[in-house]
Amino acid sequence: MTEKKIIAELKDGSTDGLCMLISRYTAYVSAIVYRIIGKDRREDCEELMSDIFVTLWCNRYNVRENKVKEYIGTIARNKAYNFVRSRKEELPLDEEILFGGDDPQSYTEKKDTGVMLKNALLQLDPQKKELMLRYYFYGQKLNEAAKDMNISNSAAKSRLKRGREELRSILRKEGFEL
Amino acid sequence: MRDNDIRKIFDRAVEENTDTDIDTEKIQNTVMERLGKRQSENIGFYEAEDMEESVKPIIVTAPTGKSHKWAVVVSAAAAACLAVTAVSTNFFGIGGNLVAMTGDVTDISEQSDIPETEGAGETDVETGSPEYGETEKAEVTYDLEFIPTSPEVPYGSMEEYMGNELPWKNSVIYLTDGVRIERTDDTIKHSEGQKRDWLLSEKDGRVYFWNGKEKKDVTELINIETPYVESYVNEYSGLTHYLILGGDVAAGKYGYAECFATYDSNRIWEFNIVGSRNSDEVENILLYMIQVAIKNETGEEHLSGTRSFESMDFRFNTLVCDR
Repeated sequence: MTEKKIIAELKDGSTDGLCMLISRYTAYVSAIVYRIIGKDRREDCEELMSDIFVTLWCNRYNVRENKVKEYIGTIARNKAYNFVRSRKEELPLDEEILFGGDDPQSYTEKKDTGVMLKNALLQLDPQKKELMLRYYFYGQKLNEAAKDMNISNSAAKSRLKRGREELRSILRKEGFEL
Repeated sequence: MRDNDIRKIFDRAVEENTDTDIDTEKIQNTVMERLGKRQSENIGFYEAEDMEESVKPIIVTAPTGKSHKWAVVVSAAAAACLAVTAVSTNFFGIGGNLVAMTGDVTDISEQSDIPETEGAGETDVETGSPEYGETEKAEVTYDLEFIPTSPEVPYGSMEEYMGNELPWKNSVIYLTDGVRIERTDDTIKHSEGQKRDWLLSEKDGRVYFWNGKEKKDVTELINIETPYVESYVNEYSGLTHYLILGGDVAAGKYGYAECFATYDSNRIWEFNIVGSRNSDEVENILLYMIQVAIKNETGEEHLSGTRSFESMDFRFNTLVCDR
């Protein structure tokens, strides 16, 4: 079934549409959640996942075609992020989160984007890397990220801009197609 | 490279490595169980869009007061919504996309006749048919007598009812954010209030709520599942108002709605959610919050549906019927 039809079903109030989305995005959503809360928390992950899909159901009228994955991804990040914060745990803020906490030795088996991105992030200075992860991976607002990092909003803005440029340059150098 | 391009790269990195030990079927079952539980917890909160196309004709009857009953016969739940709107239009002098019904719902898919209610007034209402795009007539039959549930509402016939100065008629109601609602026999005017931002403000990642008396840090009180509710009695109208907060603070998608309850001749509580200037997304969240809040506040079980109003006057208008 096409995504368009699934969304139409969802908006019509059909839980079949929701089941299809769960089936299609379980791996993706769990990948995000595990990366944020930690790979060894299966029960928490399952609970968060059901929260995420219930939230999706509650907000189904906002789901737009071609934006489903993005929308679910945002909900997943927010839920997992809030979960970690509500427990006053530290957010994982190194490049390892891009691989879901696996053994670093297995990186070579991972696919290109993750490896390249990880290598590129490693070449940024630690503060830029942290800001990039907070902003692009966790979806934090810039002012929130700035506050958490004890820097001013304008410093965060310029750091993000520079980080983006550097990342682009590194990725291009590595042969990554942008 | 734009923001979105970088985001996509981060996303792709996750997407390419999605080995998971999570059982999809288990998640599906848990979610379905939770949705089932949610629906029974809030008996009868259905949005018009939620109603299945395949719903057979139903009778919706009002509470069983001896001198108070009405019936709506329609061929689809969606049509019922419109039919009930018509009833409310007759009774309130207001229209809208309101859906609400109460009492017993009986499947009469095998019945073809429209039941008659003795001594009732009748009106035809054009409704949407189950096959969207077509229209058909549904007959609305209602009894003109009523039993008031509020002491202020006089007992009597519909005629008396229409002729009486009910407490909420010709009244002026002020909302917390300065919006003024002026209600006459058949009109409702809704003034532009102050900018409502000051009711909810954000500073240093914390969300503060000014309830007219004190500024509260509600950051931890707002979430997407459970409404945070404060009520107060409006000194002008004597009506109880509910301030309902909800949403996702971390995502910046939160807001509040204000609603108040009046009574109509069908022992229906009319909740007018007004003064809202939230984004559509926040309003959808609030809509759910409002539904839960009304159930929590009234402790009543009811069947109700909601749809948003397009006008600024009434973004949401939920009739909650006691039973």
